[in-house]
Amino acid sequence: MLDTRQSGAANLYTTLIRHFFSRFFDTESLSPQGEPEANVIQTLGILAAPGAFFVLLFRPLTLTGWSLVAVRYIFVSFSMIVMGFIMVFEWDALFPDRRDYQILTPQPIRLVTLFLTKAAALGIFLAIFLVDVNFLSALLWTGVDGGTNVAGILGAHVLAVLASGLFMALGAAALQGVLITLFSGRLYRRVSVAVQTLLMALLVMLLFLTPLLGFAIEGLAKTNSRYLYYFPGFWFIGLYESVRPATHDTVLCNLGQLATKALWISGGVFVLTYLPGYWRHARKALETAEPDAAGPGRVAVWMNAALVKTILRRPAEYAVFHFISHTITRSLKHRLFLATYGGFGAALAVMTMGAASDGWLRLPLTLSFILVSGLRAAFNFPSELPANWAFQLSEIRGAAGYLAAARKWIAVCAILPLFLLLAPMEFTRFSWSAALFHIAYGMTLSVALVEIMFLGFRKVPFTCAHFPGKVNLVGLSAIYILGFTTYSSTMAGVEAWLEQTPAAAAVFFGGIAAALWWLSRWRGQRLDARAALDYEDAGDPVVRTLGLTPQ
Amino acid sequence: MLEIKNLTKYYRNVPVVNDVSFTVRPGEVTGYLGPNGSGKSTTVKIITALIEPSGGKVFLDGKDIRSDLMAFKRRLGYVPEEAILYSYLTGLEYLQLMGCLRGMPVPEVDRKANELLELLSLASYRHAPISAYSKGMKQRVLIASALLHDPDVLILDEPLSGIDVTSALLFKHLLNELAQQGKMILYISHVLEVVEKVCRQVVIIYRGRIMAADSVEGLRDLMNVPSLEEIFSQLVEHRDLEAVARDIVEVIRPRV
Repeated sequence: MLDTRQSGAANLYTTLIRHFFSRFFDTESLSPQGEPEANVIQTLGILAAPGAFFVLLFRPLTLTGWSLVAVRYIFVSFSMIVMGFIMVFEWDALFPDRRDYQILTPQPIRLVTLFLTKAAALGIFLAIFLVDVNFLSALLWTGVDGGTNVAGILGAHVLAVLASGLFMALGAAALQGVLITLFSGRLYRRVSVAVQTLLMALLVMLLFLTPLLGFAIEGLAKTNSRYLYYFPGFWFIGLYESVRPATHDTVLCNLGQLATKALWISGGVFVLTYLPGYWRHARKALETAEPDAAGPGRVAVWMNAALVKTILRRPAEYAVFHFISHTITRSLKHRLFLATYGGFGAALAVMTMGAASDGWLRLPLTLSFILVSGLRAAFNFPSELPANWAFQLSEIRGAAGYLAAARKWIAVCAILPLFLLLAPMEFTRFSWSAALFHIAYGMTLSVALVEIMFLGFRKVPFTCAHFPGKVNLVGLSAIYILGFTTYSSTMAGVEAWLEQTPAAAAVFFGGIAAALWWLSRWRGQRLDARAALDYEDAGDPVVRTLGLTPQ
Repeated sequence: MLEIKNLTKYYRNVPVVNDVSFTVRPGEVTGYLGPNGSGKSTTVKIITALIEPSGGKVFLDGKDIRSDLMAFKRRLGYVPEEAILYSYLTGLEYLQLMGCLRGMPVPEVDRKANELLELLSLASYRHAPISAYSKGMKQRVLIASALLHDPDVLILDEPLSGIDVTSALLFKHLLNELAQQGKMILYISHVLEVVEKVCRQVVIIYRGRIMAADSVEGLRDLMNVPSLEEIFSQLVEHRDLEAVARDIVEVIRPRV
């Protein structure tokens, strides 16, 4: 009888752990198609590949000294960033969600059992990813390090990459624990969402800056720069150095102590905040929140009224404009997607500023290119696709009005704020006339870019089914590479020339205005009143032929 | 008048709607009944132009709706079977979106949306996201959204699903009022008592085919049974339901 009861309890624990483990892959951000099992294998494979690729890339070289430190940094940083990404994607899955409570609470399962199994599933989940991300790179690492002590080389590498990854996982979990302890209800949700988005952008930025930062360590260490103490990646390269010295640099070794402390602190804060946070979350999860009595604030009401009177006179435009705003600000998937672009943009901005003499001219152009292309891509991803019946049924005019709203949204809510943010920098760095010229030039180019990028776009943003496999990757890559490399440097060169040649500048602005007018007329004719919007992206044909049969 | 003529829809060569024809007249509520999977919702999706038929046509006042879909959509109000809404919008924002998409001026949308939310007892939740709404509240938002632009044609697919008793009573009165205004109303439901009370004409569909189409009184007389429930049961259910119930109880009982 006791055996039966024990085996029943063990079964319950195993079932719950498996359930919570699979729920980690059943999130909107990680499994949008709702196929958690398939995604486990896919995600693990995708995350294991880059480490193996990089280690094979460096294997022909036998590295020592500061070059070894720089390459070590890539792996330490990669482990840390990937674990960070996982925590960002799983941000809402660290605690059981409302659905879990709704299904599991009526069952005869104690809350403490739910807690223990959830914590165990989280531990297993993190351990699997930590090992997966670093396994292949650790296995092949010994050929890269110039030393002969294989066990020492392997041990130090494994310690550093696992410690950095663990620190990031615990740090992110501790951060959420602190937030759930400090804030409650609506305020917690708002702060939590902002932190999650910010973390995503920061991680993407760090990912792209990894090689740059790795090769900057030597200079920073030799000057004992304070930047070394600000960023945890450097602490763990210090830990690596203290376990297996490559340079015997004392500054780096000291940073290793910081890494050990950080690991303990993040672990401690996680343990201290996770348990109370869990109970608090469990208590609140099934409570019905009081309705928010307050609507939009006075500023929002005033801005809406101003928009209706000026640029959004047609009701359908007004509807689509606000739909875009609401979706961008409230859809997790889209927020994280745009944060990715934001992080990439920030990394490019840092590189642009550091690498080129005309960096200040290129910066706004690079950022606006990323912003417009990011929004173009984000608009393609549907949000709550089954709800698009509402748009299909209420489409009572031609497509032009709906599409105009998307363009206006980008101009008002993306391009304008970007250049307003950049304005103080422009006015501090340049004379007021030059700053005004730069802003006008940047905004004009951005508007032209919107027109070009949205030429074939016939959808209400977020309402059309999207098949990523159908994207022409070659064409898209060419556009993006051109955009991120040639566009900003070429157009910054043109800007510098136009600034010195007022007549040419007048021709330029006139030419762009004429082109925009012509484009708008052409679009109006093409999308006549009867043209319908797309709600179904044409997928790939079911049967693919290789085209080998002679016609 | 909304005329559905010889509507057919095939999914992988299987007819889910087979030669369906009936008429919804102004000032009348027409009930459309059938068991799960009988083809009701497919018919509705064809009528609302969400999917294309394999055959047959839908006419509004003698004109094929597909000859000017946008004109038809202007006159259409629809409550879908499932309460699928943009859950991150608030109730008010959703109604504003729908009203503006239908070309109503913003101040008019605001006024109507607020008043409808008030009348449907959703005023205190108007600024809460729809994700926080109960099923019945979502359904009320859908009803408000279908009525917002004062449509001539109303297609209501299970509009009372999840709705509380008071709201259901209100809705029955509302249907009568709307019919008196001359609206064409197609009402799809499983709640036969409500259908019996509010529908002048009833169409019963089973496995994609129309089994009966007449007034409730006409069907009662024809089949010589006292209620719509029995008419429905005779037409579409051929099992002994009491025996099935006994079998279920037998299955769940522990076996020694």
